[in-house]
Amino acid sequence: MKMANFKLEDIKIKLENISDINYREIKCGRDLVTIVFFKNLCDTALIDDFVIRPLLYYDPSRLFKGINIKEITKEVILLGPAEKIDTLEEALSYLSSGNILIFFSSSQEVIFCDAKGYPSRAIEQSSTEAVIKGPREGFTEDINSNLSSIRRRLKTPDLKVETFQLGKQSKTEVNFLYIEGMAPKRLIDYVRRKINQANNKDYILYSNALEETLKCKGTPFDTIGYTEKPDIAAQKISEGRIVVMFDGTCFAVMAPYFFIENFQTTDDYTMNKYMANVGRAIRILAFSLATLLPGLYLALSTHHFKVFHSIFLFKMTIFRAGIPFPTVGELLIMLIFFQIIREAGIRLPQPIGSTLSIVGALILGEATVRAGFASQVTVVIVAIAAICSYLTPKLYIPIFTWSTIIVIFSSLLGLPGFITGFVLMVSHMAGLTSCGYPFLYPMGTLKTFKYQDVTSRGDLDRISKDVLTKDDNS
Amino acid sequence: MKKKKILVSILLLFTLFLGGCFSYKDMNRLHFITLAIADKDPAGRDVLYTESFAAYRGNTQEGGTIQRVLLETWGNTLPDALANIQTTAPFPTDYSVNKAIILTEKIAKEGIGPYLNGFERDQDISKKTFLFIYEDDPAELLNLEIKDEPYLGIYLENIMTFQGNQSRLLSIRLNDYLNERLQGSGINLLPIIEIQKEAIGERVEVTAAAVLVNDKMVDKISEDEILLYKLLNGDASHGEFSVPHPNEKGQFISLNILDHKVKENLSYDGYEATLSFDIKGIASIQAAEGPIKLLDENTRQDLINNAQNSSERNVRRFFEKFQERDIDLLDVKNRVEQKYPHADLKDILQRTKIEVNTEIEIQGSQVSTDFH
Repeated sequence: MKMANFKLEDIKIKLENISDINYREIKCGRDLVTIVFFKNLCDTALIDDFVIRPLLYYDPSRLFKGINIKEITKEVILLGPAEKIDTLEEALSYLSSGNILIFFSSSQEVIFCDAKGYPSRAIEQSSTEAVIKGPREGFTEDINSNLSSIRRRLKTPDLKVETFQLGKQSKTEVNFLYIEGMAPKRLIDYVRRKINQANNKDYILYSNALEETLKCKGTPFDTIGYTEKPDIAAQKISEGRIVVMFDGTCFAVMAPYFFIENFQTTDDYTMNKYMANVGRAIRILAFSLATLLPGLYLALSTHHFKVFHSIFLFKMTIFRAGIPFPTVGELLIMLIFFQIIREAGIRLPQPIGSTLSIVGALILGEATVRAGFASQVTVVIVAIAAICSYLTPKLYIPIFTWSTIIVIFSSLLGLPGFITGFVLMVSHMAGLTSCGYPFLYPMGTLKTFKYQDVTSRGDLDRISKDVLTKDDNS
Repeated sequence: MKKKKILVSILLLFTLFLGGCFSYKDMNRLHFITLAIADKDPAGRDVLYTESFAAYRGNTQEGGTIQRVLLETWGNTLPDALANIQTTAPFPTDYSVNKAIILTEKIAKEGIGPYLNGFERDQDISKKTFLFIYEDDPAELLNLEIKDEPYLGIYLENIMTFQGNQSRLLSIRLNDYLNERLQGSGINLLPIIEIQKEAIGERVEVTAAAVLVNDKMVDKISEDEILLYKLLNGDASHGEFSVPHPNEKGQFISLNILDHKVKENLSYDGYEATLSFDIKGIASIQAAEGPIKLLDENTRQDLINNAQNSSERNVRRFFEKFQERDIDLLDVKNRVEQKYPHADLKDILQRTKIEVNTEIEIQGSQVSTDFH
């Protein structure tokens, strides 16, 4: 019989100075049984009822034959799976994952069993992806709870869940979900390979460690998606995509992820299609305004005055009369002011954050005008751009980056500069890929165009379900 | 890839050194010209008057104030004056929103070509500007105080934009003039403005049009003649004209043109050209001096006859007036040349006769439905 190559003393030495480790000793016949567990990771009631109590009531007459570990794992301990363990490293790993270790004074064999039990956040409404009509359930930090949310939606045996551990020390549990036969094999292999590549650190706590491995480098655009809602994750899996969930993170990573998905919401599929299409058109317009409006305003107001109606030009000139900065400086100051206010609003606790937004919008906006930092028109332009950027929150960093680049180009060359900046942005986006697929998909893939849900969606039964599979085969 | 990045960076760097119309300008550091008047002083120097708006720091916290700035400079040529004007203002002048260019009668009679050339070649000057002729002292015009619109350039632009379809008003922009002066007989019309001295308050009105042959003003046409000119060219969609009253001698009836079509034809027999106009019009009775028996068939026919005869007579008089003065206002020479390339074009205007056939339908009168 194979014995463990470590003793209880080894564990005690290794876990010295750890206050939440528990060594529970009980008598089992003539044998002293020591149960080791982290009290914050394990459910003590579970241990009492299904481990300690059965051991205490274990038939002592059988003990004369000596401790039979096989019998104990199969017949006595009611928690499963109870198995033998051989090495100290394995023992420590299981211990820190919420398992208990059971040592017997008369045997050198050690067994472990799962007794996880720790407090976790209840399932709550998603705070970042609000919907009007549709499921409100959001992911939590508990990976098992998240997995069950998806399984409840996709009751198919083809839904595969592969489990990885990321971080040599943290051993963060990662679930890798896809539907076999639907997700392209090339994509599955690609993501699997990237997960292994990402496992190069001792401690990996956030899903972004994997996202950064999957994402294109040198771009503010997220070429990998994320969601806080199990219904969206399930929907993406059903389209043939891959979802990766991290233990301790309430977001699931989705791959591949296309630019146009930034404008799609759950409501697009749960509400009247005409209303959904209007909403989507407004989001696309808002993104265009947020990115292009500051640059266009600057190009026209510093190079091409003749496009303005003279009455408006009069007004704008009056507003700018007392401003000491050039228009480009004024615009950049306001754009940066807005980013500061936005960042402060996010970082501060929620009640203060909303107050700060009001302060920023009303007082600072008005005060900058009165102080002569910016003209009213510039404040209006930046405010419109800012409000528009709220419609596509996942594009907030790309909007800020590219609107600033376009502003600089526009200040140099006017409208030709504005167009140059715009073309550069589109070229940049066209050069991006998401797990090997063009980021601007389905644009540039006209031969296999089957993504009938781009700028508007048709009837739900006509939207392509197998977005990726045929591409993979062709 | 690295080479491309370097190339793009160099190209962008060069843009910093670009000047002229592509250069960066802040609107509060410019004088926006709204009106430019070109004149000649007794010494023979070109004089340029401009009206502009510029913003200055105000006392309010919300922004500045705007001021109407009048500038006057001289130069041996108009481009000299355009350059000299920069030294008379704290901020650079900008012509991109210029509304109107006024040329004085003195200049118009000498020839407006060199002046327009100056405005044409400056890329900064808007070519959408309206052109006018003014017969008096430009300083007097600029010092007018029009209450409802202090900027004369904008005032004139508004007249042309919102009233330009009036049948007795002629409007032309700089770009149109620059094209049309090179086409056909070289005869063009420019609206004449004058200060309305008899009215309450100070006003400027468009009273007539100057006839320019090869950029030189040779004659003027009245408002009624502008209507005929526009009718014959199909430019007037509506208008009013008066005809003798069929029932009351010495009285008139005003007709309102509702619609009209002009079909023109030209024939040439080897010596004489015949320019014929078939005018079909629909009119309604605008006003009558004295009662009219509209239910009477004879009265209605008399009215139609009067309208047709009056129209034919006016068109013929209009043509013959300018034929006598050898001004090819209807572009006869060009029309003959286009249709008969081998025709003898020398003095062709004098060998041209006009035929006018009018057919006017009168569709009752205007109806008032609400007497309150």
